[in-house]
Amino acid sequence: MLTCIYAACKIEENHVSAEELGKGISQDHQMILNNEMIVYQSLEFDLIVYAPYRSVEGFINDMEEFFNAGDNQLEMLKTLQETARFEVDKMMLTDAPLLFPPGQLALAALGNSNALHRVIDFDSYLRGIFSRENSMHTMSELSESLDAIDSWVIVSHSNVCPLTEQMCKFQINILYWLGTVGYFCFTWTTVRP
Amino acid sequence: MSDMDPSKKVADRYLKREVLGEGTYGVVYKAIDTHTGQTVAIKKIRLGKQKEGVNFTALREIKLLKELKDPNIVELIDAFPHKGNLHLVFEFMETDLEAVIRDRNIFLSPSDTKSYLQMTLKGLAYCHKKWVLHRDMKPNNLLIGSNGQLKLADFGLARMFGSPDRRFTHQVFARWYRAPELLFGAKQYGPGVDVWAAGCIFAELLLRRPFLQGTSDIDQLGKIFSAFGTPTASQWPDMVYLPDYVEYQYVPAPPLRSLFPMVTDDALDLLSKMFTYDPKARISVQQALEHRYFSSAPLPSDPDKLPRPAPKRESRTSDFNLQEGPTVLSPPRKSRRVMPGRDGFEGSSLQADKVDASFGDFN
Repeated sequence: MLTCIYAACKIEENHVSAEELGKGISQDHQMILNNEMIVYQSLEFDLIVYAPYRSVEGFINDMEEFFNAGDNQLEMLKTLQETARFEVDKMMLTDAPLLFPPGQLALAALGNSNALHRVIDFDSYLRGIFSRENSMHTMSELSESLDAIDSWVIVSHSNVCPLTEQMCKFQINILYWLGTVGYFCFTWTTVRP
Repeated sequence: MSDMDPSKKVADRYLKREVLGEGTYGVVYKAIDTHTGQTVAIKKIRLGKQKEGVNFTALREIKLLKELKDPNIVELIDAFPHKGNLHLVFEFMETDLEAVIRDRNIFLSPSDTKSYLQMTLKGLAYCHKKWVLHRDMKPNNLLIGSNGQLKLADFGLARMFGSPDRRFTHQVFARWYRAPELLFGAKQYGPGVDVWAAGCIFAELLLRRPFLQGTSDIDQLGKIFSAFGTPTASQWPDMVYLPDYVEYQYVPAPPLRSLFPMVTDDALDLLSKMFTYDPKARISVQQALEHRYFSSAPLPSDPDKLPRPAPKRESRTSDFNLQEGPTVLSPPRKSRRVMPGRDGFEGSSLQADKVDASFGDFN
């Protein structure tokens, strides 16, 4: 697990040295390094994990321009973003990130966050995206994807027992503490209740 | 069951041939893929003594090339550890654009130049579309296959862009291909840096020598400003805010025609747009490909009709013949392919030192 964290930090360009990692966990850092190649080989060197966090940030920036947001609205968008990140955290414990592109995951998270905070007219924003981008897809197709993502989160969380959830949260905290923005060790050790 | 079994099986798939070159991180050699009969190039990266495990440039190359599949980007076929080293398997490419430019026996027609530039920009357009900056565009990283197809290679300095708050190092590109905003220490930059480097390559194709041969960052800026005039605040409003900005004595721009006397007006226009100082105003790769330079006469040459450098003597070694291996005709040229930043001509030692010194610091 330590080697996975080390490798995730490295690949996501937020490097933490093995020595520091080892120090923090009272573990010999050579053990971390010795297993590094095994991790990559097991992944068949498919190293990029597309998580929705940056997509959420990108959409928030886009909304600021789309709604021509003033100071008050900027604060509300910040709140929207924070809650959306928690929504994404929930998604990362499901199979949804393996089934949907990050942009759609981000929109699903923002949609749920907006349902709670009522910051923007979310539907008009989605229609705005389609009218701007000359999309080959339709609004209803996107809505179906967003609903499917929500279903994955609901189904998965109803099956997660409290102990597993606590363990997952602990691991997430470690990753945040290390500054990692990728979750590639979860794609490798997908949590199954 | 030993760990070595799977990797040994993978390694046995590739039949080793002669060494093609040697670089900072290891040897590149030619090999035959016994499964497909295809000739490949294998980059062997030393792992044993690394303080921080697998090195960053190798990981970057693997990570990004796994995402980039395009006719104008070199293909990473396979990757495997073997005997304590990491091996990257690439499609074999016969030569590189630097060899073409340097070869005085080759005449490059306007169609040929146009073709090489178009393939360079097509590869770069695909990278930028996938949110990847190459950050080491230079002629010896543009490889040429047996069919004349030009492909971008060496993604060891490449990385993804597009997140608004991410800061990168400015110590990228070999100096002669480095954009002015990088020379002024910019940490937040975008695809314009690759476009500037591609402009330098375009100029080099036209001149048959490197265009702006600075011997230090200050000298590089000096040579840029001699060629295009010292930038004014109206041309590039944000330059004074860059971390390493220094004021240069103003000199007006000489006519671009005086630097490139034999080229068409369309070529001059494209060059001037690629060498625009303000990165926000610089032409994008996609816009460059749509420029009338590529649609006006003469049209780009077909890749298979492009001139080739004198071919290296084909290996006469066979499985049934024990005679010695092929003569190595030009060792220094071969090594250029895998030595980032080092060139065989003027300023090479300074440049190599500069790049090597900060190599571990790339972000």
